[in-house]
Amino acid sequence: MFESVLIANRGEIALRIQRACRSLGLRTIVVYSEADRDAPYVGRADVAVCIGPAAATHSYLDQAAILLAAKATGAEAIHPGYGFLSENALFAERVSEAGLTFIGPSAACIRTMGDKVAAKKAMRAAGVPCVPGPDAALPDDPEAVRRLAREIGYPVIVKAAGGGGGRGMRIVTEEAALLDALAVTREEAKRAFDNGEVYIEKFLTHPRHVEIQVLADGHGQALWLGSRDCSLQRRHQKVIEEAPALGIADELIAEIGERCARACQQIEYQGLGTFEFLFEDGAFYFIEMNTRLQVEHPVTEMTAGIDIVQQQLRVARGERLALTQADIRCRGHAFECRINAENPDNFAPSPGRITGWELPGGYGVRVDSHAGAGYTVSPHYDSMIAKLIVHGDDRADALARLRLALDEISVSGISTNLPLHRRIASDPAFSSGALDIHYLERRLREGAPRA
Amino acid sequence: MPFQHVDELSSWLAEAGIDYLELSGPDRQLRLGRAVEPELLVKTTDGANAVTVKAPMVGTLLHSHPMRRVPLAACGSLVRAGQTVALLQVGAMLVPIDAPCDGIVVELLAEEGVLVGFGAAITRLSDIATEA
Repeated sequence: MFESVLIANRGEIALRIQRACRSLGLRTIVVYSEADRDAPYVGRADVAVCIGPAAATHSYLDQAAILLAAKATGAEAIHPGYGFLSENALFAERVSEAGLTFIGPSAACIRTMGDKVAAKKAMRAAGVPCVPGPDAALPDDPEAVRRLAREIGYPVIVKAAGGGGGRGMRIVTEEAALLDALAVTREEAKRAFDNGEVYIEKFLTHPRHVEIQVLADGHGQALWLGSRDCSLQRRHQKVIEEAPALGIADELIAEIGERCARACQQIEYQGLGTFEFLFEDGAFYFIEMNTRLQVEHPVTEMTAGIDIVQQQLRVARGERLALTQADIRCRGHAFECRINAENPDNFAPSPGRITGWELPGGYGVRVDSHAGAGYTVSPHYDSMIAKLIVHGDDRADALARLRLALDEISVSGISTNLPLHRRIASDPAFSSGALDIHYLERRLREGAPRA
Repeated sequence: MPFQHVDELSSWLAEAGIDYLELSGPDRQLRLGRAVEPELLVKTTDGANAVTVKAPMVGTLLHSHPMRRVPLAACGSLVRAGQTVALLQVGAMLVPIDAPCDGIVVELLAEEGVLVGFGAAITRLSDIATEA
């Protein structure tokens, strides 16, 4: 059982993990790049060591540097956070080979879920509903491909097995365009992901993004902790998330949740994970599983009343889950706004020194952030500087609290997307909820005046 | 050890381009060095052009090799570009920290045995003006 954790990440999540470690009395070892030398959480770690220059490839993505730091500091476990090396099966393997605990699922699980075709196959086998389409790479015979697309029904989407985040995919609305789209996607996939495997599936026109949080221990127990709706996206980047997903019958969510938990048991999954679904016309379609802690985990923490990161550490230490499914309740409603250092008009990153930093507070308001007045936002990394999380008795209560909190918060010295959040929070359609994944981009194109 | 052996060892050192050799036995120790440095007239400048040698990675800092007693680059000694001035230990591995240029060691900036990270200041070299 490990007593020390090396946090192989940066920013707000490095701080969040550090806090969870503290709650269990674990020693924290923070590795950082030269750009993050002055970050407050670095100073608060039990041991902090610089592993490389600002460029992530030579620091947060440098597996050898991180493993050497683990050895030099005597770390017993590595928490990868999200992004960077969190879903890198090879890294998970190397951590285990070095005799350390990788805080996450096995390399085999990461590998399976990282390959879209393999993931879909595994999920179908476990009884999780998937988007219609063959769970195998496409045949070479053009006629066979045409037949498959006809069976699925147009529109279809051509996707690279190694792609993700909106890269390596193409929508086809009619048969005449199918083979060209296939050839281009295959060529792109070969170049971008070194994997020319492509597949096709049904393209949903107005889906919502609904996901299920799971937590599994190493003793065959798996729980689902609730649903989240992350439909408010821009360029496949989530902007606002909420829990639970609005307007879906409890029995339907429970059925999907149970299936996700069972799938975890079937693939011997351990730790935290998220099953991402598209939800359209009352049906769930599995899209992918994230085999890591997610940015939006706090909305589930607020509604389930569980410290998810602490639970993740506990199961990684080999503990049995002390909770049962019957203990999991969804209480009230929660929102999370991702506050980014970016130009509110063109969304270009806006790094620089924060000169003013006023945070909201009060009942049901939480801010997860590593930044503050005097902090310099580095141009080298993701532009997220804070997560504003609010909780209320129901959605309307939580939304009212969100509006107040957004009025209170102010950041100066750099540009942020706070105007966008204020605009969304006062949008009548958002107040009604249950929006599809294209809504935000549609609204942005319309260029409605800012609230 | 007969003295002619020393002559022989010295010629081998010269041929192999090795600066010094240390032999340790249960009751004796031999350190054989070559006077490889040409006689230099070395004069340190005011330090305005001092160079800081930095750690290339994480490790426990050693100013001398664990098997040797002599520091790799003691204060006041002359080091050549590429010469190892300190070592980083990670487990059984020792990684050299090399001088980026010729210089005189004017200050050791990190203590023996401490954990240092990438970019940590290890040694300060003053630039030198040499006349052969």
